[in-house]
Amino acid sequence: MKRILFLAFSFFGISTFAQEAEKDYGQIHGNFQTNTQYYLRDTIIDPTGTAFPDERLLAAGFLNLTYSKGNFMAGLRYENYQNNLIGLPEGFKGEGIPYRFIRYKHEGLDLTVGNYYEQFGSGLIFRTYEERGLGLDNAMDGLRLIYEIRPGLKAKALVGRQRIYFETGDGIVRGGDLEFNLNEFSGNRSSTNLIVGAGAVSRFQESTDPIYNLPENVAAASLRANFISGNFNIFGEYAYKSQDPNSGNRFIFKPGHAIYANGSYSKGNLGIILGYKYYDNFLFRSERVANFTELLINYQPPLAELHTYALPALYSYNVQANGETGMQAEIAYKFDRGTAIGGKYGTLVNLNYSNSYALDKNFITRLNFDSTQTISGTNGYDDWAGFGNIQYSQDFNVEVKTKINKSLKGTFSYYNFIYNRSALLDGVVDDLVSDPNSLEIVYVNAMVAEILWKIKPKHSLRSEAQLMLTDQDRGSWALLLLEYSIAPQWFFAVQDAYNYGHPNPDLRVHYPLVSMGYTRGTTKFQFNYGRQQEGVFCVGGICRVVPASNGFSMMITTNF
Amino acid sequence: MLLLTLSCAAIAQDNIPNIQLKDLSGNMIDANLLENDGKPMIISFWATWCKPCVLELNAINDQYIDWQEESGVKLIAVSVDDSRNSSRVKPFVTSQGWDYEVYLDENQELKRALNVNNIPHTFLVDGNGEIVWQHNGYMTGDEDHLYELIEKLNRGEEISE
Repeated sequence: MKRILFLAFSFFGISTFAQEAEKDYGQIHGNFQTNTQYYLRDTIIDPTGTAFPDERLLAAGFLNLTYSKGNFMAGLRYENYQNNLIGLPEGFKGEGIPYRFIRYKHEGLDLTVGNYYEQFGSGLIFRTYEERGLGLDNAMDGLRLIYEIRPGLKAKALVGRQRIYFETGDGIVRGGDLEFNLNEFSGNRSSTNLIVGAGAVSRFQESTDPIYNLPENVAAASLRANFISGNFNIFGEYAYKSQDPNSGNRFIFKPGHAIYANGSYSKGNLGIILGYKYYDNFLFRSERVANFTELLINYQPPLAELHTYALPALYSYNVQANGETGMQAEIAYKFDRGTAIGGKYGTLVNLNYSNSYALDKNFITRLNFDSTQTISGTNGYDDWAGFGNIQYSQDFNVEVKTKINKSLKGTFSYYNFIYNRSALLDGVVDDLVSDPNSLEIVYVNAMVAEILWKIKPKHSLRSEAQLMLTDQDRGSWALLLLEYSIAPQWFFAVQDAYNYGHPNPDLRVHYPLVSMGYTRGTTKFQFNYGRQQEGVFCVGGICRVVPASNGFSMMITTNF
Repeated sequence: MLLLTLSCAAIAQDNIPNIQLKDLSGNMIDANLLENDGKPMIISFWATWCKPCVLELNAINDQYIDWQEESGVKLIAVSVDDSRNSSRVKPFVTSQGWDYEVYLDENQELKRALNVNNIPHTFLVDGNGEIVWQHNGYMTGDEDHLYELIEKLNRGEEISE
């Protein structure tokens, strides 16, 4: 790798000198970010000290550099974890350059050598991406070729291994995808279009298992179609995966199926969305035994709204790896100004409903060595199981957005959740559940009122009042946030979350937090001091649990 | 060598990279071909779940007709929603009543190529297709500052922040 780096840098160097002769010597851009936290011991929110790090101070950061000139592009990322912040994967430790690539594009040819991120269709069989906030980075390290055979017909081929922390996984991943785009093909850019695609991915990992005869090559393939006509948009994808016994499905030999479909209609002030998902044994990694977000080859879209207000976000739903099915429906309508509901400026109303259930699995078991019954080594359960009797989640929410007068804007929302804590947070898998009534279900009602007051040019005050009511889990919460900003440089905020309904009176505590930020050009500094409640942090349906902490934190981010 | 390369970046031309985006009818467009007839262009990275992004785009939308009339500026809203939410983008944009040109950057390729860390992130592009200014985050009132810069550009003044 060092040699590649040296080559890359010498290339930058040569191009720099070359500019003496000709003007275009390319561009270099990048970004930098660092997060540092100093932890304080807080015996109230963390009595045993499990979330108090030995290091006291933790810091993580990265720098991206991208060089481009004409058809040529190269880049690298330096990462540094001394050590990683609490709540993020500890595997990110130390420093290095885990990401570097060279890419060449010319007349329909697009070639990448090194690391790359890629997605086939909706990602059901293949998606590599990064979510820094989750510590997720499953970048490929290998070769990728994208070739436009003719306008409207695009082929992709790739091979490589995936990143795991500062190394690459054992499994070799190879894949291909072909996409046909009618508008591009016919050269007619109309509002009616048909896009059809097909892809296949396979993984090779050696097997030395003493008990099972594990398949070394596992393949997944999918077919997808997207039809767009004026106000309508219909998308559907079906994917199949061959036998893939792994630690996630407890080594069953059943093939996997996945369906992801949605349709939408949008016209004038109205938007309607309907969605359906069916994921059966479709977790796909490039190693059989891996944890959390490690070495994921595919992505199973969650099909539920992503909530960002602090209290509703505590009960975020995430996709259950060993299978689930569900739907989503959403209606958005903007009442025109001058109407009864629209008022003087117009009002936007959004209704969203989604649910998710375990599959109705008829388990096939066998006698284990220790004379217990196990599903490992069997086919697991029948294909095409329907809705099961375990509910994972239900989310109904309403959001009303309106402008009250010239300087006041308001957003009011209501949430009703059914949240299966045992499955979604504690990781209880359905094949180990004998009595669905033993699962811990949390019923939540929550409200948020957000008011934005534009006091005078560049000065504004934003406030959030949140209330979340529940008799289960950690009980009810209230939160108040005030944020004063002076555009374009300063903001100051105070927040208090109060867990007043905790079943344990000792834990009915306040979580005060003060923060400030300063922006100068493209550089942004942010400082926080205070307590942060234990929470679930989610991006794209993948969540991680962040323990409660107390301390001082700083973030610096810049682009150039 | 690194310092040398960085120092030359300061005077390099800053263009939009050659990365494909998808419009809401599934047509592909090369991002480096985005243009506005020699007039300024705003490129704003956003997502349906990102509250400050939506706040920013709504604030600009309130004044967008005036901005367009006075300065000829065009806003290009690049959604980084992944396949979880990309089907929501069109109904979302329609119900918000936005008049922007909207594109999908589903696996964040353009976002990465432009070194955007967090959204919202806004670029100002001049009539020659060069990026002259960028800003991360959104606070109420930022749009006024952005418009001052657009006017500055139209007067032929240099932007040096």
